[in-house]
Parts: sequence; structure tokens; C-alpha cells
Amino acid sequence: MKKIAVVQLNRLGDIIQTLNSLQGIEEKHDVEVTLIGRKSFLAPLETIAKQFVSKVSFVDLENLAENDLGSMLSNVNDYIASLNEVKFDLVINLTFDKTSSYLTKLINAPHKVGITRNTQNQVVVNGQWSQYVYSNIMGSDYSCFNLVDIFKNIIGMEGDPPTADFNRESNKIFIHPFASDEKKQWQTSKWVEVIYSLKKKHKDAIIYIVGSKQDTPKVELILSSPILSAYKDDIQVWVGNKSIVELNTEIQDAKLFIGNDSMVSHLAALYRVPTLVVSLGPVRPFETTPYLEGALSVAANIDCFPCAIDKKCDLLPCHNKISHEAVSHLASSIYENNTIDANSLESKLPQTLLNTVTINRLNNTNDGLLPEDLLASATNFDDTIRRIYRIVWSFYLQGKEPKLQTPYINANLAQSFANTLSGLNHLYELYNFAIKFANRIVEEEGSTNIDVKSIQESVHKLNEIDQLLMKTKNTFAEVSPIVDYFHVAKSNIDGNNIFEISRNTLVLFYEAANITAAMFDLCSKIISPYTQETEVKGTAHDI
Amino acid sequence: MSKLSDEIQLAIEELNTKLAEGKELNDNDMGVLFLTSLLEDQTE
Repeated sequence: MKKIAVVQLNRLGDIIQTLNSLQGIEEKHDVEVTLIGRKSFLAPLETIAKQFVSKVSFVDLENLAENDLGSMLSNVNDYIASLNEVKFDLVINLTFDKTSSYLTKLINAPHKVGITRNTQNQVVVNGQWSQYVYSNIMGSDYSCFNLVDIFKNIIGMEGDPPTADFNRESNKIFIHPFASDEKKQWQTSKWVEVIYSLKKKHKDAIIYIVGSKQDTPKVELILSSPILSAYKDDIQVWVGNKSIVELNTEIQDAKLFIGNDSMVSHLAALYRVPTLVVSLGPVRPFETTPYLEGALSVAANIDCFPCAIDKKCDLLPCHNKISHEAVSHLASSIYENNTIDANSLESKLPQTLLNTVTINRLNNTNDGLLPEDLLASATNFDDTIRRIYRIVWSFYLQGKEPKLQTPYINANLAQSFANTLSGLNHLYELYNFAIKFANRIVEEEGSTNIDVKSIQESVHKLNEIDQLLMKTKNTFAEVSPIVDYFHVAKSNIDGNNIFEISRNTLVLFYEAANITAAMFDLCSKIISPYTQETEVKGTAHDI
Repeated sequence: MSKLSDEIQLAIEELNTKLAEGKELNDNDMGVLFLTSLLEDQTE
């Protein structure tokens, strides 16, 4: 039996998403998986983790701590030695941070996926999907895959995503109205309204409010609301008084989960509990909506959403734009197992409330799960370009064509996309120059008298092209996913000499040019209704 | 803690010198870097 180490040093939510991606791996592939995580995050989830993998291993800094470096290093070496006794065949690092890269380097295995280090202490990113994450998730605004789909692709897991079980008989509604970051947490007053509305409409429902000990003041605020006084007997408060294991047991047969983007939402999704998340602040619905076909997310239809994690915001417009009426209606519809689509929403909610929100439902698009904009309201540039990137990356990375309609855009967006075409055109030209100079180096290999000067000139030109690619990316931010991906891929290219490296780089430049051309074609297609009527400035000549 | 910090600083400097001399890092060196990174995470 092959042995696999999976490194996930991130927080609870990431661990649960990792477990979701590992579902069935041991039975399907006859492997034994050891999940490695920080003790502070993985230990509370140990019981749950062992439903999915055979073994867990804790990175425990407290255990390593000593007064002097020599003793600490001795403890580190002992821990690594204990891991290496397993004799792993494969290490998969799903963490993408510095610490995990060193740990992955230290674990012995013939195959490694994800980030690690070489003996010169340089970052090495193994695997196309890992290179995609390293270039497109860490710091890019145009990520277009759910994190669980990304993990599944890194691991090599196939199979349809789970579907929400809307037909289950249950009267339990779990609500997690808290979040670690204030920007991700909807106002308490809005949660009070949602709970009131649900209880008023569904007398039989039992509401479970869940949270950690530090959420106690907030739950007291919710419960002190006079409008909830009549329903207190039907509200179970699981805030700081239940373990994650108890929550895990009880949430499995819930009828509905509602909450902010958090670990609990991912836990609910593990058991196919119909899920509704209120996505706020830096939450990226494309990436972190709980992995469940049919899961809903509500977000503000506003240009600044999602924002950067470190961006300060006092007014929180993305909180205010989401009405409690919209969330209550969606929750109630799930509870009653009613159809949720544009018609039903428009017939039940005033247009003024719908205009300010984007309601997404995760759909299976054949290449994973992708948010479907139920109101077709997301006429913002970033969401539209994410959908176009989804088509291109799915084809390139998976060889799959997502079941996805070409997005519809309005006239204002058409002008923005015309600008994008200019950026793509620059990019295409640069990659073609790169092909030309990489080709020159490759051709020298076959000649009887190798022209070193010509090779040096070509290398110099390729460096210049690298700089121009960075400039293009800075001018046209929306082309950065392509530039960044191929920059990372090129940095990790195999080869023992300049000719091998150039041959492999040449292939990458061809792929970069092809992807750029595909993006150009798709962007041209979506603005075509407008280019026929009016001249859209900036459209580049056909590629 | 300051003694430990000094020891870590010294160890990192030695690794940087080693890299500057074109030498390769071994598992013990990687252990130092792993530990240092873990300690950094804790203080963040």
C-alpha cells in the first residue's frame, strides 16, 4: 500500500476543505494518508479527520520548545525522523507558505507536489496546479476555482462534487453569525432579524446558534433583542460550550446552515447540509463558498467587493447592501424546499433589495463547482473575467470544457474589455518574440559550430521580454494570471543544460501564446454585439 | 528568549554564508529554517 503525506498547516476551515478533497481517497486508490497539521488547528478536528484519513500528525511547537537552539533542533530532528519512519511515497503540500515548504523538503519521499525547497534554499513549485495556486491564488484577484476543486486537482482526485440534500427531513437550522475578522461578520442586528423571520414563519424550527467562547458577548446581544423573547425556548446556544466533535455530530442531519464564511460552513457542507453563506469583505465566493452543489452565497453587488484582506474599511458598504429580507427569504425557501431562481426571487422580493445583491449558487460545470449568478446581476468586470479565465484554465489544466455560457456584458463593460484586448495583444506579441528567441537557442544545439554570442544575445532578449511582460501586467492587471502563471512555470522548468531548458521553455511560450489567443478570442466574442454597433476603441488587430 | 534569538540569528547568518559560498544546504540546515519559520509564524 502506497503512503501519502498531506501537509496542511493552515487554519480549521482549510483543514476541513482539505478533508473534503480527500474524501474516499484511501478506498479508491488503496493508499494510506497521513494528514500533517499544526496541533492548535488539527487536534480539535482529529476525530473528524480520522473519518477521512488513517493518520494525523501534529506539528507541535510547544513540544519542540526548549531554552536553546540545539535542544529545539534536536526535537525538530526527532519529529522529522518519526515522520520519515513511515517511508512516504508521495508528499502533497497544500499550504503554500514558507514553513510548509521547509517541512515538505524535510520529509523524505520520491515524489513531492506543491511548494518545497531545493538545496540552494530556492522555492520549488511542483505540479501545474500547484503552480497555478502559487501564481494565481496568492495575491491575484482573478482566481476562478473553488479551493476544494483546486485541492482535488493537486491531489489527483476525480469524481462529481457532492450535492446539497434539500429533501432531508429535519427542523434543525444551524446559524454561525460570527467570524474572526470583523470585515467578514454581518451586523448582529441583521442576524436578529433573520432569526426572527425564520422562527415567525417556521414555528417548528429549532435554531442552533454556534460559536466559540469569544463570541459570547455577541450572542448575548442577539438573545437580548426583545423581538426574539418569544422564541428563546427554540434557540439552542452552542457558543463556547460545545466541542467541534459535538458540533460535527449534531450538524450532520441539519436542514439548513446559514452563516458567515467560516469553518462551520465547510463542516456543514461535508455532510451535504443545504448551506447559505453571507459573503462579506475579503471573502471570495469563487474560491471559498462551501463545496456543495446547490450551496448559495449572498454578496453585495458592489465594485469594491471582495476587498483586500488588509484594506481598512469603516463604512462596510458590502454589509449594508445585503438586506436581512433577502437572506431570510433565501433561508426560508431552502427550509421549505422551494425553487430558488430569478423568477421566484423577483416575485417575492422588491427589486430595490435585489439590485444591491449578487446571489450565487454553486453549479457543477463538469470541471468542478462554479458560482452561477442567479440574478445575472454581476455586471462587474472582475466577475466576468473570472468566468472567462475559468474556461481557459479548465481547458489548459484539466483538458475539460466547463458547461458555462459565455458571460453577457453591458456597453460599459464592453469598453473595459476593449482595453483588455489591447493588453492581451501586447502579451501575445511578447510571447511570440519569446518563441523566436528561445527557438534561436534551440536551433544552435544542432549546429556544428555553436554560436555562443548568438545564444547570449537571445538570453539577453528573453530577459528584456520578461521585463516587458511585467510592465504589461502592471498596465493591464487582468492579464496578470497568464503572466504570473507562466513566470512561475518557467522558474520551475526542468533541464540540465541551456538547450534542454530552452526546449522546455519554448513549449511554455507556445502554451502562453495559445492561452493569450484563447482569452483574446473569448473577450472579442463577448464584446462583439457592441463592436458591430459602435466602434469600441482600443480593439487590437486580430491575433 | 534573547539568547535563543541570538543563536537563531547566528545560525541564519551561517546558512547565508554557506549559500553565498555556493554550498548546498543539508537537512540540518533545513531544520534550522523550518524551526525559524515556525517561530516566526507564532509571533505573527
